[in-house]
Amino acid sequence: MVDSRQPPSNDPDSIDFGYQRVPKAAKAQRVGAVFDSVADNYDIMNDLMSMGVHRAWKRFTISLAAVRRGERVLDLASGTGDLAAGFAKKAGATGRVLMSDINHAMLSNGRDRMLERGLVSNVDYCLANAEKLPFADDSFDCVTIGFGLRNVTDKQAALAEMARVTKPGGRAIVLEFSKPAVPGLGRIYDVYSFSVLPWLGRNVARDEAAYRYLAESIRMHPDQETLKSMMSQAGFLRCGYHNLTGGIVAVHRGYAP
Amino acid sequence: MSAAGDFRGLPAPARAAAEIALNRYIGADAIALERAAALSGRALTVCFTDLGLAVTFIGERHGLQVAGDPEGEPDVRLTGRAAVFARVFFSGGRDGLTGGGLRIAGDIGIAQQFADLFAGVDFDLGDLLDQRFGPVVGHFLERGAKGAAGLFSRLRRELPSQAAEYLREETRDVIGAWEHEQLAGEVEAFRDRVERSAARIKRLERRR
Repeated sequence: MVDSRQPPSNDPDSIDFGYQRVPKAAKAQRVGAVFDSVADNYDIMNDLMSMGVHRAWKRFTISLAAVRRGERVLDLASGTGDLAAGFAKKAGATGRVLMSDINHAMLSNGRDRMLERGLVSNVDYCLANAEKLPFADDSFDCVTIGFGLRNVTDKQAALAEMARVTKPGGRAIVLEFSKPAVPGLGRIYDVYSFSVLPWLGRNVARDEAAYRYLAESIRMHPDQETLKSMMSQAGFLRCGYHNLTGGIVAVHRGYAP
Repeated sequence: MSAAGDFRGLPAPARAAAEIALNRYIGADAIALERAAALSGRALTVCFTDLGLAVTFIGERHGLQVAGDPEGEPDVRLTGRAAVFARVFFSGGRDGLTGGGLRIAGDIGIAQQFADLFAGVDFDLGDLLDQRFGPVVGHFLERGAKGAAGLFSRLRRELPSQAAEYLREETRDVIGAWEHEQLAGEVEAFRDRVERSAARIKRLERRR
């Protein structure tokens, strides 16, 4: 049986890494190893795995963020910078977009991609852990994290940090895989996740384990309502979410008080 | 039941589309953006009695949030028919909220601020197309859109008269005004002749 959302363990010193339990201190290192491995094939794998739909998810997120000229945007787990590129165009010359990632290989790839896109003047880069952001309180008008929160060891701490660095009235947006909300879609999605994704990982990226981790980490990520309540707990107001592609992905948004 | 009583909320995709479209217009207008920011955290719920729909607008620093239900009670709730809302929100604020047809519960000042925001959004098709497709393609698309709008407007203006002329002159299914007058005159003259004939018949009967 392919689908198995694993029950959470009560061990406070361990954390999920896909379906495995690992010591909390080891998760960041193991996630780092996964992304070191997939960084060079990240874009092509995203296109293959989502059949190109990830572009529509990201376009929707950029539209929903409604970044204005002159605004300061922090994009966490920025990866190859698809969201950051959209924000940089909207923020304009007077705005600023800070691309941030905990993984050096991903951030380097992201910087190269931004240079290739010709986005230079209003983009900065920062190697940072989302759980301990090196920024002052109320620094950004908009803080986003796209397909990154599920890889963070302490998600609640990361959300609290996002709330801390967001200016009052600013917004935080989380784009992440979630739980299918359309009847019947879940089973198809499980078959796809546990059969097609590892096959693509084995034959395209030459790393089956990394893509098995991807499928497992999606299943272990909080569902829509749980993440919404986590955002409220982190201090965000007026939290809500939009399901995309039947809930396979959800965009959560909250406003800083 | 929602916070808006018996009204059902807009479906989530429609809310997202409405929010993105509204914020695109608001973002292109500095005054509208300031008005939205001034309403930050304030909620207006609009209940359409004829559609059975409710939608909540929440002011934000970057524009508006279109929500299903506000957290708690909105600052103001407006209830009325869709046509009345269209008149109030898109009349440039001339008619005001108290022109009739709307039930207002809550802070009328907030409602007026939202009405001013909606009425003041300056939608420039050229700017939007330029942003989306670049200045060159945007210019051609704008010209095309204006041409299509002009054609539609001309058609709307001329189509009734051209259709009437076709039915009158070509198919002869409908008669023209002068033909109608001529026919009416003939009918009138015929009626007069009938009445005269009837009078003569009566007179002859009396003589018999």
